[in-house]
Amino acid sequence: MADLGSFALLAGLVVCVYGVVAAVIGIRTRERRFVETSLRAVRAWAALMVLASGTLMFALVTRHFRLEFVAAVTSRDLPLVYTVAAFWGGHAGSLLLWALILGLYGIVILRGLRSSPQMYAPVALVLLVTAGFFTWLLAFTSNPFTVMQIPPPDGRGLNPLLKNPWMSIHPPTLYLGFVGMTVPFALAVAGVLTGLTAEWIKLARRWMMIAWIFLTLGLLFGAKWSYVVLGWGGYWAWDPVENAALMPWLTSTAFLHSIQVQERRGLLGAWNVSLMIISFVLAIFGTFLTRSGVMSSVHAFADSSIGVYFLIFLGLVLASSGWLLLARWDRFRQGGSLDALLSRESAFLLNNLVLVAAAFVIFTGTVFPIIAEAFTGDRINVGPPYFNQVMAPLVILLLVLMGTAPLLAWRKADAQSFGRAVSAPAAVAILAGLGFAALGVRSPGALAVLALGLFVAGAVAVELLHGVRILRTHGEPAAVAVGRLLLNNRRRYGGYVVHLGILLILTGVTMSSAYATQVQVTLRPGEQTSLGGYTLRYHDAQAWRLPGLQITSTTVSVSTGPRPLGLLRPQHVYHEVQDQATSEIALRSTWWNDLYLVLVGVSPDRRATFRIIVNPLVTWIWFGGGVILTGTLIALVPATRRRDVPEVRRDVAVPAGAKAQ
Amino acid sequence: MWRCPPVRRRNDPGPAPWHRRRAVPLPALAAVLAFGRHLTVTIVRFLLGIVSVLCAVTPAWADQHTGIRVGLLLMAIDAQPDHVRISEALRVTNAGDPRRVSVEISLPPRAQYVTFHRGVVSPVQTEHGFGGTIPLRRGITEVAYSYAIPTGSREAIVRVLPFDVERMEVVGRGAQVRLAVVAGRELTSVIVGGEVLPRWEIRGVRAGQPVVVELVGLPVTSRWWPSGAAGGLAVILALGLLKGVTSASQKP
Repeated sequence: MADLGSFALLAGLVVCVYGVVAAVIGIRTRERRFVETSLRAVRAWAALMVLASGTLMFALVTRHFRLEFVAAVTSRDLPLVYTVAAFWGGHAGSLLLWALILGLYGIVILRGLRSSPQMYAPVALVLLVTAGFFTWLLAFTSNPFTVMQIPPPDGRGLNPLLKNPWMSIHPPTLYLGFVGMTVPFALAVAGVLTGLTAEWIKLARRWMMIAWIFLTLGLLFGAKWSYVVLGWGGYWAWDPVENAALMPWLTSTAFLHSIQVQERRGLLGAWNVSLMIISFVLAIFGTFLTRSGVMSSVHAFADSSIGVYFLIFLGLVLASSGWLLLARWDRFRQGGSLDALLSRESAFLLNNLVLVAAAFVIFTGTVFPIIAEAFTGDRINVGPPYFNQVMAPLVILLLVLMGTAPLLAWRKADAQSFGRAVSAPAAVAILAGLGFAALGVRSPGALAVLALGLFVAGAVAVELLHGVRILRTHGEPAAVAVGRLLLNNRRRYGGYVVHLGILLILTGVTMSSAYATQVQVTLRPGEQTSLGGYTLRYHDAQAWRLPGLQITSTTVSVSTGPRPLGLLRPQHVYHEVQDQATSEIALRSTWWNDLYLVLVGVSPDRRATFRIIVNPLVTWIWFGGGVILTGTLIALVPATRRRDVPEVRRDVAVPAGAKAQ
Repeated sequence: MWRCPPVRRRNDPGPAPWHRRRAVPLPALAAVLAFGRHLTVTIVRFLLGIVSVLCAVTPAWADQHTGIRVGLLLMAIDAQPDHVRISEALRVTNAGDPRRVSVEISLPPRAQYVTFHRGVVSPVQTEHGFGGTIPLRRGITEVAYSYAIPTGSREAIVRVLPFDVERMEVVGRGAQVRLAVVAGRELTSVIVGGEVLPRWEIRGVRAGQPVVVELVGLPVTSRWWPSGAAGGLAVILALGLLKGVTSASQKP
């Protein structure tokens, strides 16, 4: 079994080298058979990664403890679902997951390139170079098929913190996002080499959107895992690993806006290619941060060879793509320029600058401790205060742009029309801000987000109503007009749905950050305490043992006023094999707040100490994720042929309209 | 620390405790004179109770008074790729009262993954093996543990036992594996599930006396084929590519 896996990795490396040579020859000679050979190499490599992954999965499920990796992440008592999740529960397995996903993406993208065969060879080249790098890491530095001379009778088992359903789906989803950035990068290189055609724009946008939605879901799943497993009451800590995923998300979000400018106006070609490259580099950088050990210490990085290889690969990617961009710079000169400052493309450009600035400040805050440690020897932590302070104004600026950009026309917006269109949402926002202030919302950040959120929602409503009004002038009933508008402008309205999802998340984040209340209390059985309108009565504690586990559980009844809401059972679990304690929180979620109960400890006289947190609007964050997914799926569905739909041209100065694409 | 006492025959109970001997000690006589018969009996019973408790909790002291012997040590050697897994089962006979004894059993220096299957309570790792407590009931108590040793294609396993063993039997398992026990005697092989298992025995093994088991034909994993096959693939692909480039350059 180990031999089969090792063979798959080594053969994969050989196939990569072969494919890279064939692709280079294909690009230089333009001979079809070399190009086809490189495509076959991509498929063969993908098949070998499937073989390697299947072998590892089989070894995990059959508890083949002769493999060091299997012994490190599984044990005989591990349930099947977590045995499968153990695939990415360790370093080598997660790298193999990277390779597997890249292989599957490779097969799909090559099928999607049938209409642009000139891009075959460059795309295959980039895919195979990236594949070769990861296969080399797998074969020589982090081989999941490393064999132990003596297999242990049982494995060490999966880290208890990873035994959670959210952790079962978070890494693959995040990796689908990270690895997905390779495809737009490959398309960027192909575009620079062969030209940025309309087909290229369509492909680039679609593939970036696929990577983006997986990255979004991966971030949200990770936040949910952090919330329900780590027991600190939060979901985002500006941890370097979290930041590593947020940075490419921000740059890819910027791309998804700026590509529309290129599609509409033929502008920002070089910028878009740069964003695709940066997003890929940041995805690799994120993997480097999480896998090199550099975040725990510069010295850990120095001790691990994998970090050095990642840095070399990053340097090669940056240098080669930078050189390519400069060498083909003349290809990007044919675009025009902005016609007016008050236009949708200007708003998109500003939105791009804000998003890239956000990525940059996060990058700075993330790498600063590493650089400081390298030069001074002291570790200086850049914590949430830095990130919150610098990100807050950028988020507010983004909200303003989210609200105003849909109301601006392409090329040049008429100031008066724009003023008319924006007045209603602005009035709603101002009134809502005053109303929230009257209701007791005092935090400036929360007030701004709530008011601007309504401004954005109002702008979307204005945009929708405008489109409906135009269709109704052609005799359409209102309901039919709305349906037809949504169906025939999926990209635009899918985008607006995504914006609404972002609003929900921002509202949830802001309110739960500004208005969370928490208290730590010690209660005797029968005693009660109150927080945020909830009354909690502690009944009793029980302790029992399961194989390898010592569990302490408490029973707490919750009520609000005279109405009982049920029982909560927070637990404290000690995992004997890993010598690790975890808190099994008890959570009661509603649309308005979460009651989050953590058992800190139980004393011998049965007094229990609890941390009680009431987090407002956290459910909105998870619901917002669902809304974003819905909006993205709407936007990804290919447009059908439109019949009888009057075209509302957007390249003239109209405040808002119904036309898309 | 339990050192196994000299082997005795089963029907030989050994020397009786002092209170069961006919001789009446002088202190007892003095006590009867001093406290009266009933009180003296009560005091003696109380002291005997303390002694029996001490016997139970102080094995070193208790060992001097009880008859414990290891009648059989069965050593099963299971040959696996690159290592052997050795299971040892001891049949310990206790002719005295139930008690708990502390043991320290040395293992071969390269032994890993020691697993306790039966008889040993609260095992701890020691410098040369493991230590633990064995609760002995009256009669036979079975103790079983296993461990693994990394091996090449042939190995000589030296086993030094910390106690006397009346009879030691070594059984081997694994295709092509041949074993021999130095100074031992080969027994008739047994067939289990169609597999022929060679057996050797050695009698009267003294504490500290090394027992050498020689193993030949152990399975060893060869790890060359993944690299070899990948290298072969590389050569084939390189030749194909070279041929393609050459034929392309020869085109007019």
